[in-house]
Amino acid sequence: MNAAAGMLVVVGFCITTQSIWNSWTPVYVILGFVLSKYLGLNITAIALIALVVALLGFKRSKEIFDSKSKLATAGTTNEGDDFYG
Amino acid sequence: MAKGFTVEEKKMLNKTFLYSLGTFMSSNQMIMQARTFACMMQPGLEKWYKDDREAYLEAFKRHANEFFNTHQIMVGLLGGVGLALEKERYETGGIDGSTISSIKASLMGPTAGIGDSIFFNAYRVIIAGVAISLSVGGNILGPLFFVLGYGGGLMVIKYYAVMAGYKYGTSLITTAFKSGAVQMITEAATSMGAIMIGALVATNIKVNIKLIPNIFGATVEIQGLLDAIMPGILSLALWWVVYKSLQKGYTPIRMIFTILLACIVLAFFGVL
Repeated sequence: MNAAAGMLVVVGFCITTQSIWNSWTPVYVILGFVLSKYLGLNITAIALIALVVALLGFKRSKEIFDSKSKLATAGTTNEGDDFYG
Repeated sequence: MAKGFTVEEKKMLNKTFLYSLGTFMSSNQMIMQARTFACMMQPGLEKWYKDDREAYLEAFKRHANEFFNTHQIMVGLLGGVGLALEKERYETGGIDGSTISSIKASLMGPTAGIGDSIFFNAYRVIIAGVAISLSVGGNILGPLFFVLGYGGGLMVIKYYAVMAGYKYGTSLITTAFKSGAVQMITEAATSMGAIMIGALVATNIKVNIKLIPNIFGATVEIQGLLDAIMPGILSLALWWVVYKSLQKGYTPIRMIFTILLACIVLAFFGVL
């Protein structure tokens, strides 16, 4: 029963994993695992690192989105140039 | 966020917030949270249609009988948006009831997705992680931190969600979707939740193999061998196997009983 008690929590974690799954999820899970198991960081420190990673990811996504929007706008405005140029 | 409202509006929004706390009290499989949503609209409808009973009942019944389901915090935001739309309908007559219904229907799905990824998958996991680490050794601060951090935190967020929904109406959500911010926020919250799950797997799942077989006179400590390869490798492997099983259609209940049975059998043979 002690052994089972140490393992049953995995079901809860896996249900949460299911709802957030994308191709990068295992990478982030392993990152969290390594930070805790190998570097011995506590949960609060890992939460802060996770926040930084999330903010960096958000910034990167925004830059990509902005550059795509700029390209799309440039493509629309230069549409007639090829014909005359 | 709560600034810029008249005293009457503030009273109305406070009542709406209080009604929103009963999101799942009247939930049923046919219309889900519709009855609560109608109650959330009631303070506004009562204010605007106090002299027109017919219009009041039409609006109230419309909200009460139409299917509505979203994340419980996002109910606050959509409640605010619903009030803003009803107010516009009353003041200008520019929109009709079916438009309000369509806007509600189009917003509840996406907002549920945002709510799940931010509050369930990132915020809850982080608060639970900190609470679990505080609870080690029977510290009462752990559960208290969870109740205040998660329950209390969500209440505060929901209150401001009602205010924001009423203040900005649909423009807030439309702008967020058009600017691509919703997808970015969801991705960021997802990565945060995944990192926290990794940390919780490392700290909370304990798989120890006690079996020490004697092979040709030499004892082999299996757990020591596995730890030499990678500490906690079995916890990570268990997480992966259970996740894949759930993906293949194993139900959580079946999985719990499978783990229990496996542990009993393995413990009986001295493996665990």
